[in-house]
Amino acid sequence: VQVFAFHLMPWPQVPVDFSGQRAVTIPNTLVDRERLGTLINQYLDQLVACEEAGLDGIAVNEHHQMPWGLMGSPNLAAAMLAMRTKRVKILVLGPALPLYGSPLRVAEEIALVDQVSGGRVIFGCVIGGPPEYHVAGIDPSEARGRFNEALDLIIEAWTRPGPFEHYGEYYKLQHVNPWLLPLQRPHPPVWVPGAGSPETIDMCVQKGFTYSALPFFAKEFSDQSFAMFRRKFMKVNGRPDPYKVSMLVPVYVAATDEAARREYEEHFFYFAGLHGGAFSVPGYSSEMGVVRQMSARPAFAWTAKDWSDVEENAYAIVGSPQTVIEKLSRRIEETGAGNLMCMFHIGSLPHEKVLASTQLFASEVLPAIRNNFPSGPVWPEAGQAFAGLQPIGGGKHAH
Amino acid sequence: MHIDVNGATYRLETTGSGKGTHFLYLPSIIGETRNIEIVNELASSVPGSKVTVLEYPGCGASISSKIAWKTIYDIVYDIGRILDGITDRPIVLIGPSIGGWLAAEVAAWYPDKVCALVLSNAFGLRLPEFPAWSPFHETGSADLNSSFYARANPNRLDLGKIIAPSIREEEKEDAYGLFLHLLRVQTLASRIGFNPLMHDPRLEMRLRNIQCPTLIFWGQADGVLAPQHGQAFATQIPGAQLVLDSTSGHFPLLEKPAKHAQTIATLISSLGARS
Repeated sequence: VQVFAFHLMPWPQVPVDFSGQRAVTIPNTLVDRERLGTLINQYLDQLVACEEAGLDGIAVNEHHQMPWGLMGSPNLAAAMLAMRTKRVKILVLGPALPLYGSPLRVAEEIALVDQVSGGRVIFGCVIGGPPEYHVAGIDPSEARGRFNEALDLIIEAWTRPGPFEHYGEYYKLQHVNPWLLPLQRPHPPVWVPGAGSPETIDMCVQKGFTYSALPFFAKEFSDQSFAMFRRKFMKVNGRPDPYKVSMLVPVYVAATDEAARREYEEHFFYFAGLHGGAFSVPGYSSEMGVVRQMSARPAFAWTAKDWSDVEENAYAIVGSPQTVIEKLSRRIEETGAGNLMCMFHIGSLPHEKVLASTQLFASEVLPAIRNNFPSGPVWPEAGQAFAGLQPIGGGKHAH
Repeated sequence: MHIDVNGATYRLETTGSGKGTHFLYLPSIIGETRNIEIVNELASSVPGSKVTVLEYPGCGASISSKIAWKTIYDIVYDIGRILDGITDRPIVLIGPSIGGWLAAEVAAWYPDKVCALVLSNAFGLRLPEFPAWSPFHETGSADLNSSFYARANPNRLDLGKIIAPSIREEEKEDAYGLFLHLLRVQTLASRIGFNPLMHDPRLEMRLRNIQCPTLIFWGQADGVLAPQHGQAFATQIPGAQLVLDSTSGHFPLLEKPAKHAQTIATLISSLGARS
């Protein structure tokens, strides 16, 4: 199993009174400008510390105009992290492609980071959250069409000799000819997050992308999404590849279960409260995807009533090293994910606590997880017929 | 009846078969297309008339194309072709809510195709002092309990009952049938009015091009569009008559169909030979 650290970089001090507001309308006067720089540097430090702690990768992402996530430019964050790390993979998860004017800008920025990092970039690309469409003023009914076209164009720009013309439905570019190309050939691995919509799963299976299941759904719903991906993948490829699946989960480790919960619980619920009033947008998800999500609506991390709800639905894995090893191992087995993204920071969790938890994870949990899954988890769908076969990719490849 | 324009297939349903006044009804933001009371009232209260209801692309049995309704110009073009397809005489356009916006655009672009215009609580204009309440802000925006519909419908008109006949046949028994219907209308509204929000900056200028008699109903209890929007339409459209309905919300034509149908019938009778 490959283990990554994922960070949202939230603002940690939104008054409770605002927690039910729409995500992008909470007034930005609540931000303390003098504290922002220190905070973001701490967040970057937390990710850099993960390299020293022995993790396989670090992950950044994009959100706009909301306390949920301050990382307005994942490509810039990735560039900073590339200069501060030597070994870890840098998962940019990712640029919200429809929100950028030209996909070629993303292609060049990712290529830049891939070059200066020595080919350590994983290109995760996202549609962007519904609130982002309100911020960008982009018609959400075009989100999927723009995303698909932009992603295809970026890969084409990286792999097809230029110059050539791109004349698509959303992007019309007379000259596609980037000189700033990624180091990795044919291109950096591509990860695509999904919330269980069959269309996204199909795209990942058909194009060989890693399916990165979005977190914060209840376990039952998430497990259905993972199972759908595995079944579709097996149908097309005939054999499993756990490294084509990624799972993201908040993780916190302390000396004992009691201490872990005591130190973590309030910060989890602060985080859950930040999401409360997120905008949705019509046309953003497919009808099938919307109905699937509607059926699970009562079961999101932000609707968790109490701590037992959090534990039961695996919204976060929290406890002593032994507890976290057991729970994480179970989730890896259940999901079949060969890539584990741990969110060590959550909500308002203090810097020192994040670092301590990460260190404990690295020293106690990480070796056990690697030992439990030396070649990734075995997929239940593989069955007897596939026993003894190595997964496609065979080992630690961040495809 | 179905009409193909630009790869989209539009379903139209006509009530009445008279040779007299022909109305084209452009649905509101709830996408009502079947068994609409105001449509039945009009068909019966205007002798010799018929009322055709247009189903928006992607909604109901109308099939959208990739290029359908991306801009206001697509819409105007398509509705212009639909008008050509259903009549060779000037028509009376009726549009509540988002349908009012589209009706006003069509009347401005094709003054020769429209003999009268009836709007009610129409989107389409921007008044900075009286911003429209966005239909796109809700968690689960296609939800009749959301604040958008609550503001639009303060009298708690049973919108679900009004919408029910318009839900796709195969989804009528589906638990998500109503949701999917609203989602499709919302998605269409998003294409037209996500940004700029539910208006066309150039519409105000074009309204002066409308040459036909115009009746503007405005439900003053509407929490989505303030009465000032009605006043703005009335100011810009030459000779327009504003009918304020102090108790209705966003859907006066659906709230008081019999009463407002009579007012429309009076307008039509005044048109004489033109209709």
